[in-house]
Amino acid sequence: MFKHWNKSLSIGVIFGLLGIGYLAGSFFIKKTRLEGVVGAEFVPRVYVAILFICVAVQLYQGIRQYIADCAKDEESKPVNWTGLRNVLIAFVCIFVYVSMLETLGFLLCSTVLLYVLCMLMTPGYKKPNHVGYGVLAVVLPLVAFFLFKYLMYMPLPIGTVFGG
Amino acid sequence: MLESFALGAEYVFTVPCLAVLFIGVCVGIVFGAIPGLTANMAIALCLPLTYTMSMAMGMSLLIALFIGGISGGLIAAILTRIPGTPSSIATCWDGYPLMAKGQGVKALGVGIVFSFLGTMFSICILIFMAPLLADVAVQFGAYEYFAVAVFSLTLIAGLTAKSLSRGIISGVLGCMCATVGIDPCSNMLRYTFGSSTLAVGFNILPVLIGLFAVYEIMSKIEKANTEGPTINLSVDMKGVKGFGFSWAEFWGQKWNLLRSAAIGTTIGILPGIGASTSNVLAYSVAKNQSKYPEKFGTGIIDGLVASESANNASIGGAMVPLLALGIPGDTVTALLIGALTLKGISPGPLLFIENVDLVYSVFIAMILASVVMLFVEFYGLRVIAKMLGVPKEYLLPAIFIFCIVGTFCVHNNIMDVWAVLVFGLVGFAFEKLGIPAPPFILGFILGPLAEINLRRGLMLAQGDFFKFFESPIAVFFFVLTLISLYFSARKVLKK
Repeated sequence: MFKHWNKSLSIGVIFGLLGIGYLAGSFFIKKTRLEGVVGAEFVPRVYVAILFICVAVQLYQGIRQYIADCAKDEESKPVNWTGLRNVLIAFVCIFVYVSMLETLGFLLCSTVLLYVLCMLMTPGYKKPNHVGYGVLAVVLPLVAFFLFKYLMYMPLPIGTVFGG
Repeated sequence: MLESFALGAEYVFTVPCLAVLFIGVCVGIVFGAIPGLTANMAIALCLPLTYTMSMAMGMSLLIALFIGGISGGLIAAILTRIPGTPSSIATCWDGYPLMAKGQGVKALGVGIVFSFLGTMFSICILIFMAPLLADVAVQFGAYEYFAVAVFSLTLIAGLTAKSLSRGIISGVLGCMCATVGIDPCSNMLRYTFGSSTLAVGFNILPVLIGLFAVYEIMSKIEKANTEGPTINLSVDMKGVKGFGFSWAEFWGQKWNLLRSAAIGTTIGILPGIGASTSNVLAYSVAKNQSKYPEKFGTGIIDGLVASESANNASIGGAMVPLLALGIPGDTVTALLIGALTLKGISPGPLLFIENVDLVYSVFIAMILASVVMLFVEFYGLRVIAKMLGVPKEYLLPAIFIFCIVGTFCVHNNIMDVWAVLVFGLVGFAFEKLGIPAPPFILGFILGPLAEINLRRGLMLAQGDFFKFFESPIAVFFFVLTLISLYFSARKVLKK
């Protein structure tokens, strides 16, 4: 079934579900008691209505394309799984970074994240320059931290474990 | 008028004032060029420095930061496809592809020159028509703003390359994300899930950084393992004359420049919209009006001219209600009003009578700052070009850290950093699903404007929507909306 699955069908399903969730959320918005005043839930429902129309168009186009692809029975394009795995790793790293930012502080978190991002972004034909990445990972957060703290008076998180 | 200019020049043409102006432009460009740092931030940081300065010097510094900050955004947009500021979103769409074609100098040169011309256009409008335009801007109420917002939203069609329905989905999602937080009309909480941090809603900066910067980094990571040795993108300065483009190319853009600068100035005059909208609108109008719309996004100077002349033209536009009426149109002009008030000056209609020297010193400071911006960016081209020699695996993570720092510092709130991650995921998902991101930004900016003014208008009209059609300005924009929809429908039917 998923062999000929296409983008339009994905859009239809994902944003259809999102629209349902958003519409459900609009019922939890408190209604205003003033007469003649349009409530806060009115415009979100208008948005959902427009979204549903477009989702219906996408589903229609997706189903038509699905039927046409099934008839042709063509092979789909190969997926770059390694690339996607690296993207997933990067997102997880950023997730951990944001989660830990206030606990471990900007300096430590940024050092680790910078090093990991440099590694992940190294092209396949190049050897990773660990020393270069290490220097950048240490120096840049330090520069940013002191620049923002002492020159711009914008304190960045020190980290609760370090007494911040 | 010449006497007034001479009076203003007396204040600005002093060594300390000129030095402050130069430093202001340079600092502004740096703030604009680093994604995450904005002109607003630069002005807010430097505002305390103006306490000890004379009025003309203080205003010169703030104006220089404003002009440098808006223009500096083009550097990051062209070199890395990450908009330096919200006002350079549309600059990425043709600036980066042009650089990828090996015409980096041309892209930067076009951006710099048309930024300058856009600013000069709006300054001329400001000098000669400020009080008149301010009177028109005052007539804009809820009906008119709603009509402008609806018309602008119909331009989403121009920003969608392949599928109109996907473009509309993207725009609607932008509008939907903007509904998170406290409803500005009734103060009711919407989609906050009980979280107090979500009550303030999403700021434009994290949305922008997530959609563009995080997406850019992720797409590079995805391709890293399959990428072979390629020619590194570079800006070759050898044999380059002037700004890197010919007179014929310049002359070919005259109507585009005038139209985009007019859009930028108009949007700037209207309080609450600003340069982040004007560049996208000017780009989509230029695309719709073009004889070759299919070439937009592939690296043609038309898109770059539209975006850069419009965003810089918003500067002069934003100064119109500030000087003529004392109304701040956006955060920057609110800060400028703050600086004036601290010196005991109340901006408004009387300013042109009681403080004519100050008004003209502001005009001269704006002109000088634009000229300084042109020269600093022109001679800085070589330095900017060297940035491209830095391998992407060093450059992009470094930019990302500055994006995080800038985002965090806007409200000193970790919630904004979470928003970067969320919108980064959205941007990546959009790319995978073939959904264009630009309509999302347009929806995010214009959605609240349309909603607030629709509801205010309905309140004023006691629920009668037809009252919206009693305003001639609103009717004019509704007609424009119908024309825009007609052309969009025709485009879809042709396909």
